[in-house]
Amino acid sequence: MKKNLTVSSDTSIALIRLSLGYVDCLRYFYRATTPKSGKGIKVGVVDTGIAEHPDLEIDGGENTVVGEDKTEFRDNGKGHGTHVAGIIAARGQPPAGVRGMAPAVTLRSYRVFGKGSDSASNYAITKAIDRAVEDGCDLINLSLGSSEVDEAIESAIQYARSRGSLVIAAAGNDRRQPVSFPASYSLSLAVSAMGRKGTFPSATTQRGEVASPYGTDKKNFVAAFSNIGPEIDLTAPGVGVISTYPGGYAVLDGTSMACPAAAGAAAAILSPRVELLGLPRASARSEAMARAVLEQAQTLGFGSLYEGQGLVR
Amino acid sequence: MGRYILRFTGTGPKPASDVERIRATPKLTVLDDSTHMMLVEAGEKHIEKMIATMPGWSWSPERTIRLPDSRPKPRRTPKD
Repeated sequence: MKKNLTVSSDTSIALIRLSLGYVDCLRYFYRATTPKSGKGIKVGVVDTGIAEHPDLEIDGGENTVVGEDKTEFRDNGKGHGTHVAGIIAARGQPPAGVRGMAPAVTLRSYRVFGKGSDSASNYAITKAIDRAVEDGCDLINLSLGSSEVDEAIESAIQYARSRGSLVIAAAGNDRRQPVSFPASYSLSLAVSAMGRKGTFPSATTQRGEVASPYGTDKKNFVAAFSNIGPEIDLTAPGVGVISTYPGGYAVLDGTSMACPAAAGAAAAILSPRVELLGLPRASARSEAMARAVLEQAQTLGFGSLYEGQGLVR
Repeated sequence: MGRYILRFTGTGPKPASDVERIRATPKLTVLDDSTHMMLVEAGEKHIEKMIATMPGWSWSPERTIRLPDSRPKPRRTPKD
């Protein structure tokens, strides 16, 4: 890795070509994903919207940003939601594309970040959660958060649970700070990010995210950027994750990536559980779904503050 | 004046009579609404007083949340 690099107009930087068949940390831990994984599960992605992409099939959605066209639920230009969606539901096949955790889910896009914007209103987020519930989403992915507790978002998550939907939220990337809201809320499943040495090229920025604690397998680690705390329910791969991006593919890091990995794993677990999915859409259903997901988690040896129940397998 | 979220936490959609009352409130502008909520612009004291008399409703200020930064970055920065 070059150090103390000053970028000038004649600087030449060698780029590593992204191979879609590369075994990143997501594909290392989840090799057995099949095209039918997640069938029958509806997942709502509350994010920057989802771009049109050959590997993604979007069932529908809504843009809940005040003052914008509600039918414009495609990517707002930031790419974050497209990457998140691909981790859950990409239907491609390497080397021409990528496959997500649960390609057969019904994927819905709820855009809460304005066109080209880096910020989302709590009103848009709350409205999107409500809408996802009303649209019958079984799982709602929230790869977003803040240090401040928000009463309106809490209320929407309560509503989701009361209607049989499960909210999965990213713990936040503030480098070992307390778990962000809404992941910190007791009715959300909070996801931290972990990685594995050898699942990213050695000369890449992901190397800087290797930190203790290491697991029982010493190649596994909890990402240095990941927030931690007693509210963590699960951990999932979030370092050097390859997924869909507007116009192609990208490698991103974050609990934003770990969260959809957990959501996708949850979809794959819940998909065959017809007795559970057939329950009336009420609290008992979402509680049973949460239990079923948590029961499938296996510790990696990081300790509960870092991994909660562990990695969903 | 600020922007506030009014949320109906009772059973079912927000009652039409409550919505009418909110819409008819002087010095209050409804910016958006949904099944359970209204986004309004009004004075905080005004909102607090009104919601105190409306069972099943809560209010909170509108806030923004930043998009998480998921772009990989070198952990060491160049020295000046």
